[in-house]
Amino acid sequence: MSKRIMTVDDSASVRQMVSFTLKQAGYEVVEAIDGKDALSKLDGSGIHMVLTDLNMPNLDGTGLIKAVRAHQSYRFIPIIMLTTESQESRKLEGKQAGATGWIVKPFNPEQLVAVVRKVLG
Amino acid sequence: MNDNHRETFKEEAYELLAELESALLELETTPDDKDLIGKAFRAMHTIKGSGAMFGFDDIAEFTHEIETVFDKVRDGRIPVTKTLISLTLQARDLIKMMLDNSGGEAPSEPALQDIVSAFRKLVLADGEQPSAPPRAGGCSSAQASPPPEQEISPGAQVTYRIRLAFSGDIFATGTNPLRLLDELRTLGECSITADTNCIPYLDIMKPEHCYTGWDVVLTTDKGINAIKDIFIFVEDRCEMKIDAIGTEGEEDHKKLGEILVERGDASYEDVLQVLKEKKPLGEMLVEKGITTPDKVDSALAEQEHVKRIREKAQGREEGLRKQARRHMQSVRQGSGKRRYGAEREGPHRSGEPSHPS
Repeated sequence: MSKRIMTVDDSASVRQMVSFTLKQAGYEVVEAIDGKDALSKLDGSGIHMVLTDLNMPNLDGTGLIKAVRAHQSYRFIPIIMLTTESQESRKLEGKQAGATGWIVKPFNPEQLVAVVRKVLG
Repeated sequence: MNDNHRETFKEEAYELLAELESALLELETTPDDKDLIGKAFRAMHTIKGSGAMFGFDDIAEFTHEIETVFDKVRDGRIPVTKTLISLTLQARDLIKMMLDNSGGEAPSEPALQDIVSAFRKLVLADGEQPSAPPRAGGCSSAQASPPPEQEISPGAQVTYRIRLAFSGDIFATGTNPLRLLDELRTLGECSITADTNCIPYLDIMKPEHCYTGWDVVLTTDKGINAIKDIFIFVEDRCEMKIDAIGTEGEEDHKKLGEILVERGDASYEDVLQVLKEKKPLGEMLVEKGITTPDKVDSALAEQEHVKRIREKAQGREEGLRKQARRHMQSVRQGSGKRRYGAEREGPHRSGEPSHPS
């Protein structure tokens, strides 16, 4: 059974690229447009991992990480932040909130898959 | 990069520019509205981040300058003024022009530079140096360039001792230490021993806590930075000690006592004292409470690993010597045959095609 990954980003182009790349690599993908949308799709989703942007409306990446870490069923799943080089302080906040790791934007499909495989196998 | 992704980005960027414009116009009347400031920041942040991902490097670099200013506006360090709004609207027009003409004629360099300089002045007025523009085609930190290695010739097989102690709350970050150990195994021959000494009795054990440490002996030609890269996400949640304990070609392996002393698991004096009793060293050290069975097992695993690697290397050398001897023999025999063949084939030299006449 292929593993299921949730990609959370308010940028449609990034969601599309991440989703396309992960599907090509054999993963199933659930898309969410921000942290709030992600939380509403979490229950029963059977996801194994979250890839989240940090700057998003409604609920940002750090808020989402905290909420997932407090969720009974998903608290131990890996969460990877999609950050930019200028977001060092936000990356630190995300790590403190319980993020597993990060990928720095801009990244290419090979780098994305490498990090997902590193964390998820 | 897929053309569909680029097209999606362009559509998205146009929408974001429209949102940016409307946020800026509203900010003229309500300059302290944090939601509007956040909206403007996110629009530029997305255009910059996604633009760089889909090959719009000029847009990403230019937008980065404005995003930097709006990050400070968001933190309350730079006020929303008419100048800022006017500059941002001009920048928005230039970004739109770059999108319209992507792959074609870009806005003039002076026009872009004027806007960038004006934004940088706003940052400098805040008392800071402007930040460097983003690098196009950057990579994840997992693949960040490692610092130069201080060791051993590149490509040499080196045996490392790696001691890993994860923080107790490592599982709360979604990290599975076993996966990291699996990744280490991909670098070369690996012996792993779990250190279970810190596992408490069941009644006080916290099931979500990591109590296990690991000792790894790894022989690899990939270098120490390849090892460190594996642990990049957990470097603040893992005490890691890496020692090079041997290189290819060394013949002796260390004795158990030497390994335990080197690792700091027993003192030199204790080992000497115990050796006088003439029983197996590990057994005596454990009996005396100097070290634990796990630590002895781990040191023995290291000793075995190094022995195995050295034996393999010696076997390879012996094999090469035999191969060389066989080769020399066959060369001698072969040269005899070639002389014989040349005599029979008459004018043709050995190895050349013979043409029927």
